[in-house]
Amino acid sequence: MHKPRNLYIFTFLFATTLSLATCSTILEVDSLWGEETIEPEPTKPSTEARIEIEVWAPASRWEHWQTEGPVKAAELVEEFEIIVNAVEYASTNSFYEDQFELAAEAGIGPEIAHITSNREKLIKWINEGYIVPLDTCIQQYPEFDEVIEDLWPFVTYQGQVWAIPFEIESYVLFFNKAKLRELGWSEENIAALPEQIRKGEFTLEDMVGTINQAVEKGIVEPGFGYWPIPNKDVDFLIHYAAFGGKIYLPEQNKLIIQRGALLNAYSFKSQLITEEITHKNLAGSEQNHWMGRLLLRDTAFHDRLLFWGGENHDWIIWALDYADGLGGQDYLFEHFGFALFPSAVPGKPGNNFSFAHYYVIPSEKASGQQNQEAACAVLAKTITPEINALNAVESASLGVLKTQFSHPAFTQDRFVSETMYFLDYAWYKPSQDNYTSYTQLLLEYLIKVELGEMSASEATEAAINQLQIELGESLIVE
Amino acid sequence: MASIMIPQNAYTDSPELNPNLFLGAFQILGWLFFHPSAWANYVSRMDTRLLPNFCLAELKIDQWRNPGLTRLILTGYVVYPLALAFLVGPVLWVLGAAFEEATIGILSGLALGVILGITTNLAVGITTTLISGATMAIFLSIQDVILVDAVFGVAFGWIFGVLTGMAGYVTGNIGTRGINLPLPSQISSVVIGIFVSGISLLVLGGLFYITTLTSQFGIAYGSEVIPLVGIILGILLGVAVSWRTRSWRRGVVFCFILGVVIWFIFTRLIYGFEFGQEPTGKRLLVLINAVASGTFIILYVIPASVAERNANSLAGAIAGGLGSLATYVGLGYFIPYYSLGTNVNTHLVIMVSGFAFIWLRPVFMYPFSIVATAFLYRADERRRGNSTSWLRWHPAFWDENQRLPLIGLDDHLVLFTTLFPAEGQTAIEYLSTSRQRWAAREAQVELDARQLESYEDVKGIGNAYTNLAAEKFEGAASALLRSFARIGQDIRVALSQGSTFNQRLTLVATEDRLDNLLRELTRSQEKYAVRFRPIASRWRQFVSNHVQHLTETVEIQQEIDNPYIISVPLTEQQEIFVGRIDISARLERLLLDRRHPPLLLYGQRRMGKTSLLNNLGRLLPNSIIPLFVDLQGPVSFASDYAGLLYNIARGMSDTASRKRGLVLPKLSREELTLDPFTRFDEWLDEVEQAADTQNGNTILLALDEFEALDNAISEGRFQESILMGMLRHIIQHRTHFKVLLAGSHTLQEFQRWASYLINAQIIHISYLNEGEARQLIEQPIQGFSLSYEPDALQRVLELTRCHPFLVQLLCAEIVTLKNEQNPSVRRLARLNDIEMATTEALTRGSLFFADIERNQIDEQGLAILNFLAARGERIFINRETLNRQFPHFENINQTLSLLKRRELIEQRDGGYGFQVELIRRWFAREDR
Repeated sequence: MHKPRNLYIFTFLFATTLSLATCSTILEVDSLWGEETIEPEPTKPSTEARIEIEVWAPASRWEHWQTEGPVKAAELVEEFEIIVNAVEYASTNSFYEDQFELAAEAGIGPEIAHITSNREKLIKWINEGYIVPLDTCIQQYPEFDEVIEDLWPFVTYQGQVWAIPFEIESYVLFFNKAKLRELGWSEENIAALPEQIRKGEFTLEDMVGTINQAVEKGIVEPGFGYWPIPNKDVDFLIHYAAFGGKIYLPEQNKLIIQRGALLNAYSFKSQLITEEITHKNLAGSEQNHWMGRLLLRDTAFHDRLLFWGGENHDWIIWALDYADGLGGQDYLFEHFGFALFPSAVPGKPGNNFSFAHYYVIPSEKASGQQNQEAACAVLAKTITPEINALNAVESASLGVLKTQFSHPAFTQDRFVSETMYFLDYAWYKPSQDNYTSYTQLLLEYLIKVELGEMSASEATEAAINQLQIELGESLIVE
Repeated sequence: MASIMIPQNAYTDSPELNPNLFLGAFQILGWLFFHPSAWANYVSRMDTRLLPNFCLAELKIDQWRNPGLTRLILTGYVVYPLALAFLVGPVLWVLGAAFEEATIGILSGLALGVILGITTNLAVGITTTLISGATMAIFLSIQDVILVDAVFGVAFGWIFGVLTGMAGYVTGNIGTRGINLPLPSQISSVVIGIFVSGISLLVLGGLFYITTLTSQFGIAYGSEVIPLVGIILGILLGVAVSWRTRSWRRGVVFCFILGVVIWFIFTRLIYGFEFGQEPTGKRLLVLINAVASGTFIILYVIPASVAERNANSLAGAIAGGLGSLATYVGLGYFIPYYSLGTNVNTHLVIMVSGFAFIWLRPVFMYPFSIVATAFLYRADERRRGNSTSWLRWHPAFWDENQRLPLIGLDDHLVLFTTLFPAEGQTAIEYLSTSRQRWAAREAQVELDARQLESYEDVKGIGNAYTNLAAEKFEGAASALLRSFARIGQDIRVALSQGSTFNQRLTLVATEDRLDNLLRELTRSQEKYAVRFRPIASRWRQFVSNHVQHLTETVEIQQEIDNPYIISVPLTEQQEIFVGRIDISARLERLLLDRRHPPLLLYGQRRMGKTSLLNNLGRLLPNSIIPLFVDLQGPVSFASDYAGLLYNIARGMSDTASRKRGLVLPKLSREELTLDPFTRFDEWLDEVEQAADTQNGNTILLALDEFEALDNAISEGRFQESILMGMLRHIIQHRTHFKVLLAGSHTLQEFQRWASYLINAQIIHISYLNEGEARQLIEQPIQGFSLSYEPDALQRVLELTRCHPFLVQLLCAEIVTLKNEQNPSVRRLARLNDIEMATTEALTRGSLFFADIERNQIDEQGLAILNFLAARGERIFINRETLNRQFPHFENINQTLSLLKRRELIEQRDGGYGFQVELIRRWFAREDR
């Protein structure tokens, strides 16, 4: 008697459960992987000559101009009637890049695509024929002449330029002003710190000394004095550079390793762990992880750190998500400061490692369209100060044009204007093809040093030997 | 007698629950931690179908309507967390926590705690989870930290370690109630549970991987996948519910409910943030806590439910505790710099400590309990005369697991019992089965000692055996008190003797026993010897004085000693037992018969069956060990098989000791509780060994008054097939055991016995022969000073027909009569004396005669006996006369047959008449 009723109940429950499951998957399938389609407001009457193109880029709350920039730029293009449809990927870069490759392989890719400073990926896309060279395009529009010269080599391959830079991301040393005040620093001293770092008057040794004082006075906990940038390969190169180490010789297109600087950098990183300046849990891990960045931002914002490395984007994330109810950027300026990364050599200015984000124009094979010229026209307008400044200010990044620093949008934004000088001390990822192997090897031995598996000198010798084996003629050892 | 106001069931394992919701909540907490039996009884009182460690998914609809259960769930999942939140809130405020942060902490702690508790309880026993919600709530409330503390610290190791440790402690405390499998099976259940936990981790890990894969900054970006995670969590919990309840339908229902609830919670939590917004501060921590707690629940519940179902609650707690370690593996995988090792170690150490706390807690608490004991005792001492007492707050009554002796408790019990005897005995009774039974024993021994030393004369001592309570405890004191009780009993029997001679005889024997006891106490190293020796000495003095008094009385009055015993069967110490040589010789022959048939000693009441059994020890060779059990005593009063077999064993041990000085192995009532017959059978093996049957000794198991056991079977207290089967098993398979039943009925009158006791040999015990009777009349003891004229002697024989009881009855009256006469004629009995004594004998033996009239014959038989009695001495009435006299009797032959079988009438010269003149005279009396 009960069986049919039970069967009905089971069927109902099963169906409802399935419906719920599908509601949360199928109904939201468009946004399942974070895609959001932004329909532009038509600014020109629709005609038969109108060209529709798509732009793909990873996006976030503060990085939406990566896609909105081309949409807005299309309105400024006079040669073509263009409508740009933006497809935003709220996902990891690697997922976005995989999606692009799948689409390109199928011939349904976009007409404009974003690419980060990933030379291996760029070369792959070139070799696969997914993207087109942009030398003609660059020559065609004078807007491209304003781009900072240092940004072109990274995207130059086999004598041709393959991507257009539109944003510079920088690694920054942040410090906690409140903690320095507790330590007895005057407002003048605190305000002067970035300048002291710029001039080489405040070195890494001074930073460690300050931290030790703070720990002794109980102002910061052991292990919370200085946290590195949560991207260790870059972080180590910055430290290596701080000790005077050179990475790349552009004239010879060769990588270089300097034994003394490497030894000092390894020793310093080891010292940070053993003297509990950096927390031991941060040792021995590549740390390039979303949780690493989340953890750093959260810990830093809650006044637990004295010095830490970060990206310029962090500033805008704090402003939006952390200090929203506290006064936004005003609160941040009151609590936190930023500077170049200090040199380890007194008198030598601090350094700044930066890298750019680029647009590429997919080939007809990849996009299935012949809209490359229209895409070029859109990109020319995208990097104009009017549009590029919107992206830089909202994402707290640096512009890519030599002329845009005097643009009101830049000068009126305190963070951007106060970090503009970073570019004077910036160095960029080299366009050497073995760069990734070079950084991975140095990182591998850094991890051994941090974990105490090797001494700094052992790691130095081992790393150099291994670099010589793997890189051969591409490497110069000094 | 003083009395005291105490709550109902105060000194029991079933105390009343305080009606106040909050006070009751803490009382329940106390039960779980300190008084698990009270918890088990509380659950059972609520609903007898509930096991102490039931889970919510097992409940039927009518059980959900049980107000007691509603209150329990309300207590565990609302009252505890709320109470803790009220406690934690002010603390956080005092510590300077920001109001908003503290509020978020407390509220999220409450929410997560309640969800954790209820969700876990769906598939895992309630004792494990009842307080887990509150624990979670308090930890999360005070977790005034940011993400880095959760990642670098050991907060989760602590929280989950404490939860699993508490689960282990409480589960172990409640006991392994469930399917009690062998240890290997339990271990394999734990292993299977952990294996399933690993699979669950992989499923969850896969889902989280998908979530993070699609996001640049983690969970906040993977919000679209979170609903799916919620549903998967629901499915996994549904599987656990199915497993635990063995009902897939319940699993489906709960899967649906849980899926929706978790989906809702996750989506609300995640969608609380704007698109791409990074969760920060306490909100981030709440999110991490939710994810970690959800993972923990799954990884605890699944292995726990598997092991709990396949083994028991303790195995479930172990499997859950170990399986949930995978939570840290999951956290460590997604948070590369998570303090994995530290958290795992913390969890393990706390968890193991929790399990070990079952044994360690009493040790930790001992000093405090001792202080409390002393304090409460002093407080009660000062309150003497008050109608209140602190005793019920003593740790002995609420800390069930305190194994260490709470020194001073015995003194407190003595004090309390002295002031409030009834309540004191209740308290002692409770403690006598607890871990503090030593105190109950010591207190009872002291109270008994005080009782024993309070007697002022032999009459008082005669009542001693009825008042001793400490006998039930094992140990030296118990044996000692049993000795005092037996001495008291002997004195009571002695004082009940009709003759001064017998009183003296018994008292002198008792005096000897007291001497022996004194010697033993002098030699003994036992601590009780010091306490009891003065009492024994005092008693001996009383007995000695009384014997002296009796002797002096006899000498002054030149009385004839009256050795006849008519109230109780004769023991082997009593010289008066005569004859029965022929019966004992036959018995010996039958006992040596290799076919080992069962024996039935059949004879009318008071014919001397029990006296014969009592004297078998000296009548039979030493190679036969008689073990005597009176089935009319505690054996047939027993309410269960354990009690029955315990009393049989006690009777056997007692007679083995008395008759052959043989100490049989001990058999306690507790040993018989689980599997009475198997244990009893094992004990019989031990008895055979102790009796050295391998060397030719034979055990004679004599069961007197077997009719009493038959009554117990008829009343339905015992099953015929079980008892008879056991008896037949002993007869057939224990070749060194001989079974003898004694009773006043033949097996034909008890058909159920006849079918089991095939080939039983019947030994008929009847009148003494004339020589034996003459000896009993003229020389019952050496130096007997009464002589009989020949016709007087002959008249005694005629009146009694050598019936052993009636000879003693009549002779006892003759001695009494002669002692009342002038000393010059006192020592010779004449015919006239016999006739005078006969009248008194009929009065004094009225119970014997009345028993014949009321219990041994029916109405027709009574009518015939009355008719025959009225005809006169030695008159035999023929059948025709009887038929004429009783024309309406349906079956006069059957009645006459019964009267003959009862040895009341005999057939002579074609007529029927009384066998014994004295019995005829009873029936001829009109005033009987």
